[in-house]
Amino acid sequence: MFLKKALMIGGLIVVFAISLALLTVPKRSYEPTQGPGNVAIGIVAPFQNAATWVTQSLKGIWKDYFYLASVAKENRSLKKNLGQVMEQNQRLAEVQLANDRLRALLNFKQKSTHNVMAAEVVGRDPSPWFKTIIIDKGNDDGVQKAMPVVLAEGIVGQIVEVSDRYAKVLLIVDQNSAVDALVQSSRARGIIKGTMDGKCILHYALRKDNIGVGDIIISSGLDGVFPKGLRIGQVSEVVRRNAGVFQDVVITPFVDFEKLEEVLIVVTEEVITDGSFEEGP
Amino acid sequence: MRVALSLFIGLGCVVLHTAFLVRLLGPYPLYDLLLPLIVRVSIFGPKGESILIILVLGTIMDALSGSPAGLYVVSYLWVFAGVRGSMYFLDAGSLFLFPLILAVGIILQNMLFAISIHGFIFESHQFFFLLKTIILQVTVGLVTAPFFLLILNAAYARCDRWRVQLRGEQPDPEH
Repeated sequence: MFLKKALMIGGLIVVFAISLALLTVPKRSYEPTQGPGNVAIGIVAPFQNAATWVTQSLKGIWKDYFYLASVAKENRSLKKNLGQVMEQNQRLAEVQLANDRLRALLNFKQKSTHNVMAAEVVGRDPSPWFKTIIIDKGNDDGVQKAMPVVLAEGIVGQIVEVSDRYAKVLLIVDQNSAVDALVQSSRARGIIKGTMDGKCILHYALRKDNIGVGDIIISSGLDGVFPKGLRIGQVSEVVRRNAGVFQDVVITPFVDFEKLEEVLIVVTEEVITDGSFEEGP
Repeated sequence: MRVALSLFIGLGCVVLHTAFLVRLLGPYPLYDLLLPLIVRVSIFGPKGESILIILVLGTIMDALSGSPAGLYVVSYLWVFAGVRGSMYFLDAGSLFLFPLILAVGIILQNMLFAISIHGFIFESHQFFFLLKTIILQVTVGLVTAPFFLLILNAAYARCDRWRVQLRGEQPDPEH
């Protein structure tokens, strides 16, 4: 019993002494671990590594979840804002286009000595066989039958029917339309009529007249409807047959009839004095 | 009430066609949107009602279009006569035959329009324009006709129910 106690105390003293020695003796250099320690590290470290990876991953997922949740919220808000901005942008683009068109009309109105009135296109012909439009000006605004309808680009057509507040315009590309016209350079005369494909043909132009692709066609004023010098279109093809007195001249109108939104009605029959409409494009 | 509904639907179609769809799609692929209504009214409606609807809607179309006066009325009357005639040997109101009858109506109307412009003799480019227009419009017509018929049937059925509720009348089994 006494021996056991003495051994235990001795052991404790030895352990204490070794501990004291290890704590007090400075270690000058750190040698690589050898022996069982190295093995233990080799066994434990991979698990530590795995545990650390899992912990870090979980931590990352947790952080990312909250981050993504806030990003998703922010994304929804940004998308909403983007939608509003796009809608606003679209509206502004439309206003800009309308502004450009109206500015061109105003510019034309100022250049012209005619008394012109702006009108908006409210309807189009339901059939592809006939080319008319309905505008929002009528008898109440002083519009009368046979008044010319124009744009800065050129002739649009003429009023064929009028109600109190609306009027029907026969476009020059309709097959029932006819405009007395001149080739600007050669002064060759003919009658412009519409075709099915949205172009016009200059009929009754004499074969001897020199007409070439690119020539500008203007109104002659002889039909009593359109003032002289209004631009109509440009020659895109000339067909001279071997026989016959006349040549067929295909005209591409300056006005894009598919995109008509506003037009000008010429409400007086004054003659254009500044000649601005006889200039080329 | 059915006449009023027909006129209301017809006016809606006219506005949709002339103020919106022509701007959006251009005039060529669009057949006359009143034709499905005219065909349906011709099949299911009493003669008097059908002719009244045709006269009113045809006159409106003539006023809005650059066509010679009365051309739309005439074309609708031809469609009416054709549909009535076909009913002796066809189940014209079926979902399968309705598009075919509408297609015939589209062809008939385009031929009438072309004849009113060019007469009975066509030049080659005029004939090709006619052919192109008919092919486009008939294709669109065949695809859209069943939907039109379903919508129109639903609208008339609803109208009949309202009429019964309002006046205590019995619904017309033929309509």
